[in-house]
Amino acid sequence: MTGFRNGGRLTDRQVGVLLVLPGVAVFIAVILYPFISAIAMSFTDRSLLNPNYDVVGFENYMKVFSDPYFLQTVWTTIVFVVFSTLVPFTLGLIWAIVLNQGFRGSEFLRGVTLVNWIIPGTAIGFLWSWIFNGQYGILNALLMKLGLIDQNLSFLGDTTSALVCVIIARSWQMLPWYMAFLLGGLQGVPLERIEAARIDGANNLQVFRYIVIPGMRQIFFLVLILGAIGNLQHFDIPWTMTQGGPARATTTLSIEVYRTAFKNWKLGQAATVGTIWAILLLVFSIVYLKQVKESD
Amino acid sequence: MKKLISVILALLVLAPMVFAGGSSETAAPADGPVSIVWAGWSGEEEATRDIFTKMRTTWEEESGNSVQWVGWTWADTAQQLLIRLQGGEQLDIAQADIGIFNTIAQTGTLADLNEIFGEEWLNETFEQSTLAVGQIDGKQLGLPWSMAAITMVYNPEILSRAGWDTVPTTVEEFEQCLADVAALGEGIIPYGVSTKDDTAAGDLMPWLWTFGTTIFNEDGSVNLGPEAVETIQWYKDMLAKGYIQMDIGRGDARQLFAQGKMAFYDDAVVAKGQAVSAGVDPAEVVNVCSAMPRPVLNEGDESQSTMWGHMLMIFDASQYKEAAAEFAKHLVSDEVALEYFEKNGMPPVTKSASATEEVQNDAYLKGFIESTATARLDETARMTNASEIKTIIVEELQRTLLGQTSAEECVENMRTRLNAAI
Amino acid sequence: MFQKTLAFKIFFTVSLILIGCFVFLPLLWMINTALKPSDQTFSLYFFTGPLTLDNIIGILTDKTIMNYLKNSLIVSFLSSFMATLVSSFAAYSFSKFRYRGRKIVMGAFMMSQAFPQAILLLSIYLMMQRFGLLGSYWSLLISYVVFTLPVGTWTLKGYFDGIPDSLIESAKIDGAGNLRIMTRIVFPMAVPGMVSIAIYGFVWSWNDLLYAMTLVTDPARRTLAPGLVMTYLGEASTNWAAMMSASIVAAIPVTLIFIFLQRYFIAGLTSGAVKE
Repeated sequence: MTGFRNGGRLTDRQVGVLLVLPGVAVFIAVILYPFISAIAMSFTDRSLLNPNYDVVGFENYMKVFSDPYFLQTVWTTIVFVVFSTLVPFTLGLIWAIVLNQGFRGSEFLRGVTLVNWIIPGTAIGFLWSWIFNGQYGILNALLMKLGLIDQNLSFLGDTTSALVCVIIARSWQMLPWYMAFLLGGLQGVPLERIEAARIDGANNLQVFRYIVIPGMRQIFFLVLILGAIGNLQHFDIPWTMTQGGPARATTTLSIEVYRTAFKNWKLGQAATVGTIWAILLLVFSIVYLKQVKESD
Repeated sequence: MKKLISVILALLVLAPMVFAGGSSETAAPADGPVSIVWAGWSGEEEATRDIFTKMRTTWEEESGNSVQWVGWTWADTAQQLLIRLQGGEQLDIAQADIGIFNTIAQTGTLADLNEIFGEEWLNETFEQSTLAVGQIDGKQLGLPWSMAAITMVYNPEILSRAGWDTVPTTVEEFEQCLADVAALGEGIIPYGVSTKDDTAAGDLMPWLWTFGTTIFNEDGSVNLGPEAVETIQWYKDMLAKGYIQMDIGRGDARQLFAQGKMAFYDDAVVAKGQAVSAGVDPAEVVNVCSAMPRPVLNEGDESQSTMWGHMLMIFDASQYKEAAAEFAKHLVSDEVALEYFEKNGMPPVTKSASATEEVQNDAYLKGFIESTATARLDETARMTNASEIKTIIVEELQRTLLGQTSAEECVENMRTRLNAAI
Repeated sequence: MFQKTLAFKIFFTVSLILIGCFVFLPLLWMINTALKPSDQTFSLYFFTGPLTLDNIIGILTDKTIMNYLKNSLIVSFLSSFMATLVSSFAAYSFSKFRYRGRKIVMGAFMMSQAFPQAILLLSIYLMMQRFGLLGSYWSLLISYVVFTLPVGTWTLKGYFDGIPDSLIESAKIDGAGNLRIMTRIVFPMAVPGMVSIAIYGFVWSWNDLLYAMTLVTDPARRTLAPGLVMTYLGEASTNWAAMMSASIVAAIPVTLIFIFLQRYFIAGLTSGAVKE
């Protein structure tokens, strides 16, 4: 910080580096070092039960790849990440458009919508497992009252519906987040261009398609990437609702890592799953960024 | 500029060296008052928070030492203890259930209580059978604190509505009773056997034993005899008839049972807690929540149940083992143990406390204690990868109950995966 | 933005009702549960049966829970403040300065969100212990700052990119130093963006369970998310009503702050990124 006071003597480059230094310092300490040691750990048989360990080379990798359920876990993760990002994104966009209309009470609704986001994940998990519960669930009671079903449905007891339920709960939690970002984006769309298009006779859909969407492209990109990464990391809600079951139907990589490290105590193997996940993501982002560059 | 970059690089290189190791300096043991660390979960829960505070403060006043409580949730205690042990933070005494005890015992960080308390005191104070739960390879690593069995719990009111004034004693009678409860048509779930999370494996074991097989042989190899297929098939049949349901874990079963919507389920003596928090008078709990011996296959067979309990563990690396031992003695003392029993229904384990009238005459506790005499340890209780084993069993059981595999395939899949896991 | 044609009105009304139900019904059910007497928790009435403030008062008068709430507010405010500051510096640096290694550091910041946090926990624990930070607010603050840093830096960078270089150049010609340019010109223009990041960081620390439970074991400094789980999600019983009441009670002060800040928040949440 002292550098700023005699800023005249520092070059721009030095100022730039100085500014990024606090970020880099905590980054190295809290992410980079643990990250590198985790990759190193993936080549050992380190266990949470014992501080001593041996280097085992690629044994953990062989184990993970020979696990018949590993591909299923990757697939579940993809489904979970894609839908838990797209569903609240779409609903959040519509909700943002609705709340952007500025009717009476819309400001209040915006504020209250944010509440979902600040309820602890575990409480949300409990709320939604109660809603979907197959015995005393609220949804079952409601459907029964409406006469739509005559017997309780076991939403969380079936492999397909359990995943859907978890995605719904996660969407409910994150909808406000997307809404807030997208509302900001909507308000940033230049109104002059819309008016100009109106004069040219554009209807609502055309305005949306040719002005709003291109105007929000960057924010869409940002929100989708951040949302997807958040979902990849996400853990609380599926863990509270289903613990990854039934029959592994809701076991994502994040749950698998948690279970391997903190229930089966196999740190080395958990780090292996983490490393594979980071590599998959790296490959994905490189390919993606290249395509983005080419299309520009 | 170059200097700055090299500083960053140096930081990068040095960071691991600085952070590596992770040994912590500990103060030399001093004479006079000491401060010990007690870890667990009950000191956090609303139902037990106050009594745990009292346990600490009474001892602090008595001994002049102090106790620092470190707590997590019950479900995270094993993992958090392990992390703390790896870091070498101060840890003197901890609360554990059988599963947590097993995990921590595997780390080799527990002190042998025979050396701390002396075998004589242990044998004088506790029954052999309860001590055995805390013994591994001839070492006494866990001090019994509260013990009883996980057995079957039933709602006498529902049973009597279904025409049953006595509890079913054989599997055949049990099925008949389930059918009668289902026939009541009140939307009551006859049997809330766990079909999700780790508890589903825990509930399956005593039924496997009842049908005459085990998961593992004595030597640790996979057993799963033909009776295992029968057991799984029996589950399938019960599911098909609506006697049991998917997506029921221990928590769900407790909820439903407390609401009077379930006739039977498996639980330990802590079952009372949920009923009480649902508004049942603690003294009346036994009328809606009673323990019973698990039905047997053939009349005259021994009824099966799983051991449940809380223990205290003292850590070998502790600087204050003596103070911790004194504190442990305070916790199992009649005065404290009986108050714990009175307030929270935790069954005391010392010979003297369990012989008192109030414990002997407690109608609720009776059923649990009776089953304790023949209770076995969970088959994974001495395995390092207990959770992994249970996960495999639960996953395969769920596949079968969901109709993806047959009972035969279920047992074969379990066998293959268990063989790979052990 | 959109003309109020019939089609749009239908779209508007249907969306308002459907999404409104999806967003608010579960929330109302939570409030409903919080207001029911504890022996009625599982009754299915919706505000039409006996209601009581007992649960809410129980939470408000529970010193332990209120202390957790206080800790959460302290940790969340501080960490969101620190995260905003650190991200602003870094983002400004990435946006307006050029030096070797810049792109690598930027990429590293982004990728850091891509490794399972559960695995990083053990190393972070050992490191915090090494530095004697275990059990202090600092251990949480530092972790939360780092987990907010990537999002903060990237969002704010978009914001700063929108500030024309000419503005900075002309200030320089007028003789303003770097510190002055930053605090008087650049940051004020990015206030809405900074508020967004502050809120993002706030919610991150507010909701974190695993790190909070592991790094801080002293009940006196425990935050709300782990505190609630430890108190109400017991070995033997789960107190749903209390858990919901506490979540609602805790959400109130934060919601009020959000409503107060939302003008900045929503206007700012990346509108910088839009202005290319």
